[in-house]
Amino acid sequence: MNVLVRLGAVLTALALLAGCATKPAIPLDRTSAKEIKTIGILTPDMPTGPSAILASTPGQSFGLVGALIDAGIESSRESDLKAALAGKSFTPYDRLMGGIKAALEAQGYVVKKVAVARTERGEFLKTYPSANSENVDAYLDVVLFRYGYGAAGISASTPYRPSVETRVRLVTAKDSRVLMEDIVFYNRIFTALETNNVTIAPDPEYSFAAFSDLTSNPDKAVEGLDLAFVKSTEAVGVLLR
Amino acid sequence: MLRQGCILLAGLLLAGCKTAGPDLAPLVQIAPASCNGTLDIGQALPLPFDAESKNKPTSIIVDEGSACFAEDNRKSLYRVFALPEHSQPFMLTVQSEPSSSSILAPRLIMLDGEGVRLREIGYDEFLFRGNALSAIFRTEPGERYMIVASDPEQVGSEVSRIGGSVQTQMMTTGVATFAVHTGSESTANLTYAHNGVVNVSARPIPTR
Repeated sequence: MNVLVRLGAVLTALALLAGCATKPAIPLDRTSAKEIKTIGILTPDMPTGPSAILASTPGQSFGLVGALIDAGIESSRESDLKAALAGKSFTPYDRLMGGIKAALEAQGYVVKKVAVARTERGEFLKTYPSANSENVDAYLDVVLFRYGYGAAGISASTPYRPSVETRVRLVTAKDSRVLMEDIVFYNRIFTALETNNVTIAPDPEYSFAAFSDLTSNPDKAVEGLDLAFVKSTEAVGVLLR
Repeated sequence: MLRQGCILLAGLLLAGCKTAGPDLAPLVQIAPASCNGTLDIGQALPLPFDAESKNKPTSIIVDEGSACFAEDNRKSLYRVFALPEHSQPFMLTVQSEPSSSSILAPRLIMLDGEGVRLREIGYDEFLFRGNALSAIFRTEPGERYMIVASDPEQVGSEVSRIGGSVQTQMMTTGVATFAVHTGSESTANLTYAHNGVVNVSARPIPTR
């Protein structure tokens, strides 16, 4: 029994420590970036639908059974959110690509789209196009890790707010050298955990005390997400300045 | 006894994940005392190179006691760092830490060994990373000193930041131990100021 308790303590400690920091950012190599005029934005990795995350739930206290119940409720929320956004023709791909293109062009880059096939959800590419058929100087690998709405807890004092997580990596086209890598969080709910990645606070205008408030007001829900994409992609532009 | 130790350990680890800044009142006006037109690098603080990226950053306070310089009739308070000598470019991280109601409006000026300006990293290149307003960048050839200064253009303006978090408490019934997770939100209303706490580190550039 003591062994099990000790093992539990070690695992708890490791889990908590592991969560205390995120992957370190790699700042832009400006010396090399001076030679980069044209950036190819690779087909981004996208989730299949929006997230509707509750960062803390009563179910988390009840082990596997609680987790299964939570997963079911979360899946139901996500279906409702997906339907609400679809009803307003919200297309995250357009928001993401349009925002990043505008942000890069504002920094003086010429931007092209480069089509790639992706096999691993939530990951940067393992290898980059060698043919360089678009004749670009660098590739921007974009992973839209998550978008949607999130709340820190179940009470009205922790409302649902837009939440977007975008991961970006700039590599040279000629030899895939990493020139920059970072994560941009819009409304990062787990702020108690340390990160050196970009964390944009949510706009207070877009908050919904209950999830039903969110789905019953899809216009405002879309506006909130739109803003989250704009702020996130603007931050990508700052990272590439 | 051992179970209580586990609970304490978990609590300590979670507590260690978040740091709180000191309580500094925002300084939005600099007294018309001695402000020079030139930057003084004589009092530069040596910045150590953290080769293993394990040490705590060097923490300083910019306040009324700091050096002051005036430029186009605008005054800034500043501190100077002497950068470590290193054969390769390295990564500098500058974090302006919020206090309860204020945060230094930061900007950086990079100088060569003679104190000549090479480039400026403006307020608009800082982004919030965690709770701190941060700039992470690579050094460029010839840079020997870094000025951490207040940006008078931003001083007095305000920023409001909503942050959510989850607290975990370990509870025991005597038979079983389980974790209770509770979410909360807080809003930090901060005034950009000439003063504040700044953390600086010089580390190798991460690789992938």
